Amino acid sequence: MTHEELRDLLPDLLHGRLEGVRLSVLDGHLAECAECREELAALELVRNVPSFEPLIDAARIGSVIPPYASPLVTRPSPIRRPAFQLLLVAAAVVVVVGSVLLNRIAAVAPVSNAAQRPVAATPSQTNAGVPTRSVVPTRRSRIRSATESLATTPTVSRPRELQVAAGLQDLSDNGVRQLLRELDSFDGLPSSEPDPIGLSDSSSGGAR
Amino acid sequence: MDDTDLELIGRWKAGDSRAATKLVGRHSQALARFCISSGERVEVEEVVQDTFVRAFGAIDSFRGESSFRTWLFTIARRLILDRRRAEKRRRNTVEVQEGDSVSEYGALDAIVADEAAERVRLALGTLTEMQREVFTLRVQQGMAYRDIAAIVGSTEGAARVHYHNAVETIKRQLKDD
Repeated sequence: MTHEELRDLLPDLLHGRLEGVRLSVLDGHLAECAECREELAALELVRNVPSFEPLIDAARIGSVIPPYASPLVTRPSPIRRPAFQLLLVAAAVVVVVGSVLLNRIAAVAPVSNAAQRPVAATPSQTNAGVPTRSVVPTRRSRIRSATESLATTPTVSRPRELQVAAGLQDLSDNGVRQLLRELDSFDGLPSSEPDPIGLSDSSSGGAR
Repeated sequence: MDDTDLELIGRWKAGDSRAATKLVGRHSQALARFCISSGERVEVEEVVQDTFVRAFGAIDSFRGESSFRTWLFTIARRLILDRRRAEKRRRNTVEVQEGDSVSEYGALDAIVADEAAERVRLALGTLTEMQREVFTLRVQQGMAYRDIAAIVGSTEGAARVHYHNAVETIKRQLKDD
């Protein structure tokens, strides 16, 4: 062993951790090396200095340690949906609520208004292969069909696909999945003319 | 024959609260010495208690790769650093800045009757914080470099260098006195 390696063992010698060959080799080295003897003396001096640490009341500390709580018996953490999915669900709820309000307004307004309002062209009416921003066949057709049905029926009924539970918290997992599927089916384009309904600004903060 | 730390941990998990007390008794004084050497002077017992409460609260994260005492020291060191950051403007704790250590670290010298002990304290006060941590863990606690490195967040090689630099400084200081 080199001088440096033996020097490294001095603290282990202090703490009685050496035995066998290493102990005898170090003992032999100390007999010949004044530098290492001097270093050992300094280390002994440092080690023997009282550090004035307070006497710790182990029993008292032991009594404040709470009992072990096994992970198996802990209450399962609530299902945490990713933040994006929550925003998506919130946006879906806002869209659905807005559609419901739309239907109610359309039901109250005269049918001719709906006919005079520029309606987004259906795919059959557009020039083939020329997409326009106002083409919203899916949503519009649903609303139009709902409006037409309202014109003929005395009572207002919500289109089946727009029904929504009283609150988000009342939705079951299946309900949430259905909402998400409906949202996926929306093409996301705004209507050609914003409808004059009093939606709050939060309706624009949908998922991105 | 005494139970090992892992056996006591297992007994505590099984519901034996005395096992926790036994572990506290086994390691608390060493923890207290470590706190003192790290500069925590005033609320040593509080730091020791917090360390054990945190350790037992997170016992499932102790994988046994290092010794239980090493793990405790790691927790205590983080606690002390957090407390320093939080109490930065309160000067109850003794902070030793590199190159400006004697007046702060030697604050307790007035109560030290032994001249040799006083010389050692002054010598330790000239070390950097890292050197003092490594040196006291190696000499006073007798820890291996691998465990020291885990506690101070360094490598074995760096810990070895810090130790030897500290030794040279201590020897020089003790010789000059």
